[in-house]
Amino acid sequence: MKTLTVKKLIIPAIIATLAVGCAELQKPQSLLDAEQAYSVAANDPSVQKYAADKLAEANETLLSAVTAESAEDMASLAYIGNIQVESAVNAAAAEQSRQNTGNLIAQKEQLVTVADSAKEEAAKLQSDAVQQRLLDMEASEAEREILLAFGNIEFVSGTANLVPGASQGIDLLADYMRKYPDKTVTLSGHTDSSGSAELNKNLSQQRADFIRDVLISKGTSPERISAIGYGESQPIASNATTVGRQKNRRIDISFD
Amino acid sequence: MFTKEQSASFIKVFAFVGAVASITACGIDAPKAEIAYAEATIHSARNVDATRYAGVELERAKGKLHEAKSAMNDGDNEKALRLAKEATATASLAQEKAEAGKAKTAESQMKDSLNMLESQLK
Repeated sequence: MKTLTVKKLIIPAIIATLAVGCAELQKPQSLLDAEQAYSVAANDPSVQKYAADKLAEANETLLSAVTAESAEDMASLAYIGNIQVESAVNAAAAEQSRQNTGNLIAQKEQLVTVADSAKEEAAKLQSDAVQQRLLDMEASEAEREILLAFGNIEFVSGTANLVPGASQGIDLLADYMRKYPDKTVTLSGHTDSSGSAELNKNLSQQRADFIRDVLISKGTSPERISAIGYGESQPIASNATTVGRQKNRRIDISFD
Repeated sequence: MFTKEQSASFIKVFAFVGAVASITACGIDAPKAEIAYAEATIHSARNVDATRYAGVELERAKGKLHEAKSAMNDGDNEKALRLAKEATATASLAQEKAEAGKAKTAESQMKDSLNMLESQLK
């Protein structure tokens, strides 16, 4: 009789103890650590951006750990929650690295493009320079020929008329002006000292103008040709001899 | 109806049955599916080169899988279930860590290659 009463009391007591024990299940350190790790990860913008789903998963696990019915379940869920937080952090790091790699590739491609165009530019400049040198060489060769030919140009004394058959130099000059459209030419007329200085100046101007007109008639545009008469003011030889006077009657050409 | 002695023995019987019932209620089936899932997760982790990038995590997952199997063999299905889930989570971590490691390696290779190109262009 007495034992029965005791037993009747003991059983509810045990049940009550168990119930209270369940309600007061202490969070183990591992769960506190996992919660701490979660809050660190949850505040990481990279994890928020790239691993929100995994973060939510970890959160759910940790919430279920808090309400676990046994210490073993709680510890196990704390472990899994912690691992899931770490997974989220790693997933975010992986995605961040992939993004960085993508940016690096874009940077590299841009660099390659810039380098290629710089190389092209350099090659073009170089070939332009070579081309220009060739052109210059050709031009100076042509100029040399024209100067030689102009050395043979003769005018009928006292007039601006060419001696027949002396126009080869003008033809060469006209070709040259066609071929090198950037060039301009200055024709300087000179005479010997026979006759008055004023007449000579006019004559030298007429002779230079005559050649200019021929060039214009052969297609050279007028603004590319200057014609100046210097008269007898710039002799290159003595006016005392026939040969000297002949040398002084001349058209000088300079190219620009 | 019943004598006090009979009542007492009934209570004893009920208590016993109750205890057994409660254990049975808690008792679960062998977590074969969870163990298979853990195994598969470990397998995929290995496939993404976790051996190289997350060796510690992969070994821990394998250890937990082994323990889960032992617990199941011992009839402790609850422990086996916990361990199988822990093994799966750990293997998933190994997988993520391997992916992160590989992505990091690719990034630093790309960075090296870019630096090299830059120094060549200087």
